[in-house]
Amino acid sequence: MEVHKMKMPKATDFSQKWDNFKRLSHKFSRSRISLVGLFSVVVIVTLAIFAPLIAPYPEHAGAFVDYAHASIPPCREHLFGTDIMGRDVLSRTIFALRGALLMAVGVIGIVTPIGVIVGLVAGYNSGSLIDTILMRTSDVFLALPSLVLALAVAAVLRPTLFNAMLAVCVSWWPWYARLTYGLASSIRNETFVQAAQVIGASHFHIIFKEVLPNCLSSIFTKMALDVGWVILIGASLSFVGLGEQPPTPALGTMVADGARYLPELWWVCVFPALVIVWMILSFNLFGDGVRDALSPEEA
Amino acid sequence: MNMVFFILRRLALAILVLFGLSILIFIIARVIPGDPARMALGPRAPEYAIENLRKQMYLDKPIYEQYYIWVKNFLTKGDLGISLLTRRPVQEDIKEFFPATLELVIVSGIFMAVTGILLGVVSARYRESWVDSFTRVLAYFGIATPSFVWLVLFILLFGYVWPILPTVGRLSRGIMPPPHITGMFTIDSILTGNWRTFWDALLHLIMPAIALAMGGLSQAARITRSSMADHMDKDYVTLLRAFGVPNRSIFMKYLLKFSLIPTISILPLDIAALFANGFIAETVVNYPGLSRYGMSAILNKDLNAIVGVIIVLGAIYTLVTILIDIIVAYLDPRVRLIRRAA
Repeated sequence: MEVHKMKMPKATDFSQKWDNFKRLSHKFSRSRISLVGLFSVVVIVTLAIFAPLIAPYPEHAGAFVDYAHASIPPCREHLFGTDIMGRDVLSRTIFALRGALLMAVGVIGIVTPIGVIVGLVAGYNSGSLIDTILMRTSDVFLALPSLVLALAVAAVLRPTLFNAMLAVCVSWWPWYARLTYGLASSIRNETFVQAAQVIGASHFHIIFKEVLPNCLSSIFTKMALDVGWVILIGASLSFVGLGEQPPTPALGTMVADGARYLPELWWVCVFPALVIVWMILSFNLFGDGVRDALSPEEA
Repeated sequence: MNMVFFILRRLALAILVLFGLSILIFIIARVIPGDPARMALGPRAPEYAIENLRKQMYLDKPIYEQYYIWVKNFLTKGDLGISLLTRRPVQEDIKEFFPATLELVIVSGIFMAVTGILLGVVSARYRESWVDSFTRVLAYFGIATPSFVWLVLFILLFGYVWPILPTVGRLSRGIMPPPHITGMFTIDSILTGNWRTFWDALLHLIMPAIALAMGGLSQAARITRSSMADHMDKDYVTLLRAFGVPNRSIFMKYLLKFSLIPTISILPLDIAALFANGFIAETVVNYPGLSRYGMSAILNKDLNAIVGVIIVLGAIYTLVTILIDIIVAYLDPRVRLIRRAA
């Protein structure tokens, strides 16, 4: 009988990675709505990066006052109108995309490694004391809805974008810990992990080279699906004044300020509000596409 | 027996988690820069008054001793300390503001559950109909729209453009609150037979309640639909059909119970999260509830009030999670013991 030489399907060399990518992007592009999401996300990111070039009145993004052109309803010069200080709402909205995106990237960038490492360590040692300590600690953070915990932490710190980010991180990492924990504690019983243990591989090698790669697709899925949520929480924080401070524009703050002048100056509040929805919706559609592409069920 | 053990174990863990939460919040609340006593009394207060207040609040003691005193007072007397903002015991404040929020959450939760499940069931029953398309679109937008955005849009539409609903507070000016029985205006006014007050209180609830419900509602509709659609293609349904069981009773008797399990395991958490989303909605419409109280406590760094509100919310949230586990176990014996008791 021939010796079974099947290796773990690991994308080692470049062409294999490329094939993998092609397969995933094919799966992703089968759904038209995911493509709409992707396109929308690209537009948002482009707008945010090139805001000073795209915004019609880039100087309005800061402390700018022009009472002569205050409170103009949407017209050809000011598509979203102007606010009570005469600043172009469209320009400010475009600049506000930056803060919202930065928030999402920052939070997910900080939270993923922390949560994943905690989850891996706890899951690999599941049943031990380390597992109990780590996972009970994460339960404490999950005992509150994330918005409340983020509000409490953000309120304690000085209100800046960075601190708002930290506040969301505090309430967010346990979800990654939980996800990875669940995966790791079941993967650790697989034969290839036992084989590695028998050969005498170090814990470090097993956790990062055997267990982690098999968790990655779920983690990536969660990251893609979370962007919209983080933007939502960030908008809520800035809505109550715990995010980016004026005069830098933030979507939530713009809605909150605009709400004070309802119904006369409806455009100051409604357009940023709709942009929040557009942003979250696009990232959710994109995230759904990533999930469908990475899910193994219908390979 | 196993079930009792399961519940007891969950409760014990919940108490541990709440203890952890209180420590966490205690630390967070105490690292606030600035002197809370000074903030409470204002910049021109005399030094001795501030010294007194600091003593009264045990701020002169190290943090672990402060925590010990706080826990002891809470466990023995149910005492959560004095709010710096209202100058009253926090537990009194919470007692006063909680019913308003509870009322809002109940109305919102009922709306969320009924509409969400109904939309899901109808769109699964009539797949590819207009209800189904509507639910699909709603599911995308409902989840992507923060509740404060819904609220602002509702206020604009139904408060100003087509003014049919009040935009602030719990009652219109000139209408007396009903006598205090439960603290929930709608229930109190029904109990005392005061229909005008009931109607007015209900009108004030509609906008914030629906705005809060939108997210959970769309999620519930989507989950119910997909779960029901899955079950409809199962063999046991085909078998029932073959036996000539009428469609109606297949639907009501068999399909509904099983396909609602995923919805039921999500809905109560969404409802408990309403207490949190209320933080922002209540501020927008100036609704005098616990969340607005908590929000102003957070913004004014009112230590005892922050800790009190957060512990209450944490307790509710934790209890709801346990409740879900019990309900789901009751509905679906398969999960009863497999489910990790965590």
